[in-house]
Amino acid sequence: MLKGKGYFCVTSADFMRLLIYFTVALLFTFAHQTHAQGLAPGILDGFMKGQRKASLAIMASQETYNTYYINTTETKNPNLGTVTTQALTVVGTYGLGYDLDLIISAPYIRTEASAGYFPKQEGLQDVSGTLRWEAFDYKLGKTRLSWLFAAGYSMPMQEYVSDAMVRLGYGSKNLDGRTMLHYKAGPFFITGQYGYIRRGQVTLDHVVNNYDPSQLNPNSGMKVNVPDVTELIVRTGLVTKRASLDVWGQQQTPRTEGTNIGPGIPFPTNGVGFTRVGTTAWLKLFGKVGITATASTILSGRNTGKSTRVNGGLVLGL
Amino acid sequence: MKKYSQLLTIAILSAVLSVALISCDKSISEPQRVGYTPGSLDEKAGTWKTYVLTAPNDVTLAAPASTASATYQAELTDLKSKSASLSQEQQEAVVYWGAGAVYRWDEIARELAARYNTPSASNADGKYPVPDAANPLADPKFPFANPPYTARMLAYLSVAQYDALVATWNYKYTYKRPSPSKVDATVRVALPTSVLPSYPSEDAVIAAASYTVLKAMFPGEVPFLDAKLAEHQNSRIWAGMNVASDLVAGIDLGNQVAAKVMAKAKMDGMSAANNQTLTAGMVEAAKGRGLTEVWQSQEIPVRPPMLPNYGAVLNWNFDAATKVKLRPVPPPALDSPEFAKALDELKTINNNQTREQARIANYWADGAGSYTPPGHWMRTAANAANEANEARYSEVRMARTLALVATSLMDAGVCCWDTKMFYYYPRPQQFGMKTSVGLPNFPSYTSGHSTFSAAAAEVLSSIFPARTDEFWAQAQEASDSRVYGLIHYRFDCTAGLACGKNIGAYAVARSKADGSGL
Repeated sequence: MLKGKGYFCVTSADFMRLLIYFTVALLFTFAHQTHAQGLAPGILDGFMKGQRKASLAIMASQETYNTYYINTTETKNPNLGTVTTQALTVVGTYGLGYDLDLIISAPYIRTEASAGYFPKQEGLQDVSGTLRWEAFDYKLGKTRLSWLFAAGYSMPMQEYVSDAMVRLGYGSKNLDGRTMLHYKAGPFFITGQYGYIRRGQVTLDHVVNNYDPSQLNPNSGMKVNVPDVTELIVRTGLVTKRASLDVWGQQQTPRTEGTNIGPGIPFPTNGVGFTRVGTTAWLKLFGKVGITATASTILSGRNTGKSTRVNGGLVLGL
Repeated sequence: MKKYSQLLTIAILSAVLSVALISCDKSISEPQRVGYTPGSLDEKAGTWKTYVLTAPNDVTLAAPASTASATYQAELTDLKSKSASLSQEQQEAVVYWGAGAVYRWDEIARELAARYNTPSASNADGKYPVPDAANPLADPKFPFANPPYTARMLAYLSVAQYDALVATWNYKYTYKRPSPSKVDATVRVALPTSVLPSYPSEDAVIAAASYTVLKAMFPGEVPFLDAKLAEHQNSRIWAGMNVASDLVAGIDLGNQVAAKVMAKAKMDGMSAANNQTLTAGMVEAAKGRGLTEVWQSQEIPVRPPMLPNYGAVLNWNFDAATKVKLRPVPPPALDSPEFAKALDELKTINNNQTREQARIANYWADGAGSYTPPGHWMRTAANAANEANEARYSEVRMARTLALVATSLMDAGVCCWDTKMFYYYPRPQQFGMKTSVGLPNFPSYTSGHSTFSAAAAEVLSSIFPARTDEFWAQAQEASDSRVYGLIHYRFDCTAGLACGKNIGAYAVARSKADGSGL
């Protein structure tokens, strides 16, 4: 049996382990009915960590918008002003095997509006755990093509209010499945990624009065569906042992119609989508310490803020 | 070989994961309400005291054809053919309407209120256009079904249903036509039957009376209401419950009663409720009584107060002089220790609102896009009377319950608006508070939620005495929710609860003297 990078290198023990992970993820789905934000492109890339290697990243971000989309129509609301969201996210990555990484992330979020009377929301958002598996690794001359799969689960760390314009998150438990093709030739790389985020149902604080029959039972309860989304990400750039620079585009599309922002319409049932472009840089400072920075902006969207986001962080190899 | 087995493994894993992701059922199941045999037929309900009719025979109904007549037999044959076998859609209609005619029309009314509870957006000039009844589907839609509007709409709907059913019971026991399945046992029935006479059909009466009121209240919804009216009548045929002449008579009777009820509605002062020219005088009067800072809209641009003259609309259970006596005593002066203490309570919550406080604030918010606190309490009332294993109220008793609650809710709305505009007291947002529940655009003192809730709890506790503690706990929580939501001072809420309880007592007094013996 072959070991190390190269052709098909999954041992039967590896395989059993994978099967267990997937089974656990599936059980989670059925037991909880899942939801969530999706993994930011910076968190999930095509670069494997390597067996028993770990890294810890601490990222700070700030995202602002003064325009949001009601369905796809741009709107400004003088009673909302500019919404600013700041987050501090801890991301840990550990190579369980040479072809299997575990990625855990947990953000602390603060969000507030500059006008009107929405109170500031602050607290822990959703913890997510993702297994990234490099299923295939082909050597094509001096270049390499790898095919990866990832399965993630995320859930709120606290029962924050999700049915509000100014909120921490969707409030749902989510299952996230995706596949990636990662090609690297010298310093150049390109990664294409397609994902499906299944969002679980959310129980609101109140009985829904104004319902969309496709979202709710006409008996009007407190439980609502959150539309699933699909996600397509393309990312390309240059990477060396000292630094990397890339650009990326992310498109999230609601899989079901969902509702649109409106009076009495629960925010979680809205169909949310966007096209976001960004650029990310990483620089090794010394030893195992690096810094990273990302800037991104939303070009078009549906029922979401037309936001710009910057983030920066420290990456520590462990 | 290994290569293919691994490819196969990945394919299977991907397929399983994809199926898990995409095809799991996300449908939400909740218990459906179903028909029941009433605990009592309320045979004497034809003598109960009505609201708008002076007597049940204010409206007239010709005697039906005898069940032995050729006309009736032809109707029976037609009924048998139409009820013999039902499509899925017909069965669903039978089950839906079988849960209760008053229950369903009240639910429809609440749904419409929620759909129309949308404040107008400001235009380019910074003004808020007023909805136009003559052009109901234009932007902004007519009506803006805010709490005062919804309270009144539900009151007229419930009164029309109740008065029409009292007249119905009168004629049912005058003419005593048995139901089709009692005349001919081979009629296939899809709902529980009783010995209640079937002429006129109570379902048709409720459908027509409700349709007429809702058409006037929501003039843009005529096609929707037409479809409901037709389906409701058809469901009685499909269920084998009424022959055609039972339904025709019911529609006639329902229309007659609703016309009288809506004639009263036209004269109750609602047409002047949005008279914004009165607010300057209200502000001056409040200042004259010593208020140093009056309520001001906190919206951008500034929005005129919601229906400032709603406090002048006619009440149901007492007269205008009583309304003035019911008005709570003045709120604390803004420089008083009482005010400082109340504001301190809000500041504490503003700094550190607990999740449970947020939950309570959200549960009772019933703001834009909802069917408002009056609708919330009507849901509570309708469910209490409809619980299949407990109350199992007849249609007429259900209508009586809802009319008592709805008239009391409208009385509460009128009294509360009179109080609000009389004192013109500033909201806590004028002193730096935030709110997550939506800031109501009218003065603070007293709390509408508290007034509505106490009035409803007082009436419901009288009708369902075993649940008194439960209703009052709900009213207290609804009242507290406005403090947790930071849009009312504690004294707004305690004064509102006390006033609402007094208002509810008038409906309770009426219920003890309406001849029902209940």
